[in-house]
Amino acid sequence: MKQTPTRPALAFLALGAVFAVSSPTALGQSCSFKPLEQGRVCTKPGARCSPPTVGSGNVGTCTTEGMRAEALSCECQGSPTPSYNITLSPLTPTYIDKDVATSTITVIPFNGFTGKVDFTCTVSGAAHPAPSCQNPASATVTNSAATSLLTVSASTSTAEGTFTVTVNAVDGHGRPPDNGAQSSTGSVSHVRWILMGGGRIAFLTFVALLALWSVWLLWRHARDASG
Amino acid sequence: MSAQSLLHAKLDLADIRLPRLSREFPFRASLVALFVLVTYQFPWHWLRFVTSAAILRISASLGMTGARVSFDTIRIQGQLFRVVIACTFVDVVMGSIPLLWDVRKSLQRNASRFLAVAVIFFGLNLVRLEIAQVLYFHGVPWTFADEVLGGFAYFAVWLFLWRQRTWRVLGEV
Repeated sequence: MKQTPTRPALAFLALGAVFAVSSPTALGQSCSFKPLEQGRVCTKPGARCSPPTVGSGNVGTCTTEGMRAEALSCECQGSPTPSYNITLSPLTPTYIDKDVATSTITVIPFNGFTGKVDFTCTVSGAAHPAPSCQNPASATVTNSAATSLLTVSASTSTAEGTFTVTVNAVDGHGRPPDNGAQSSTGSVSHVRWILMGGGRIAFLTFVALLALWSVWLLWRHARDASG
Repeated sequence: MSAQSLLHAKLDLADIRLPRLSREFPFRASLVALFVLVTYQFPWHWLRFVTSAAILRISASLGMTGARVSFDTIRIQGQLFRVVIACTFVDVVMGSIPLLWDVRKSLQRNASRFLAVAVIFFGLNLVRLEIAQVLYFHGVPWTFADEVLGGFAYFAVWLFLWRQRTWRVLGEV
């Protein structure tokens, strides 16, 4: 006897078919869903999205949108992880003698990152005695970028040469920045600087020459006038 | 009149009638001050870089060892030299515009004349900087080698502008 499927069985089969043709990731929790033109950012299903999801620990995966092969989208699983990057401005001045050079550390938060970021600094690449750096003060991110000041100092006994100062950071959970430790370079020199170009003495010399020349002109004028 | 007779010429100061300044000269002089003031409002990074690069190359061609330290600083024979704005002569070049401008000529002719003069001045500047450096490395104090020579360079520029002028310093007597 031929059995006819009942309505619930048909519905179950239909649901199974939908599951079968759907991408597994499409059913996950989506933190971003941005349809992209094929071949532009998402190259093929299963590939990683390029660029990766900024700042979060979840890297997106390219997936087809429903059953349309031409419509690729970038999805990522799970909720985005709050994270941060750090940047260093160039050391100023780049050359120090027995003074200090400073650089601004900027903490750039992503995905709602907030909290305190602690810094440590190390100086490398210089002969001993090398210039020293003080661990920069912690920066607290509330809702926008936070900054801290890096200071590198040298004394008369510091060896001359180029050095690299590297800043490491960790947040309250011990996580480093997404972009890793950042570095900046500077130099120590005890040679006296010379500023090229005219200064006060050059100006005075010019004025003196101008005065002499003016007197000479006046004298010539007077001589010519008197016949 | 010979040089000998010039030396013995009697100068009677009471006979000298000081003529008045023309109206044009103070106006042009004020513009010079204004132009120089405006010039110093810009960092002129590129010109400082170019000037230091030129000095570095000229010094190297004269057998002096050198290296670039930063965009405006060079190290020659172990000595650091920093090229500041005054060192580029850009203040002199810009300040010479009001003195060179010929009101009877077109903008284009004035501009082309100014460009030619600017090239001459920048060349003169490189020569005086290099001479200063050579003198310094031969034991001449920097104050004399650079600054006094700089004063003479400014005066040379003034004499050039004086010969090129199309304006009168003194009014009609």
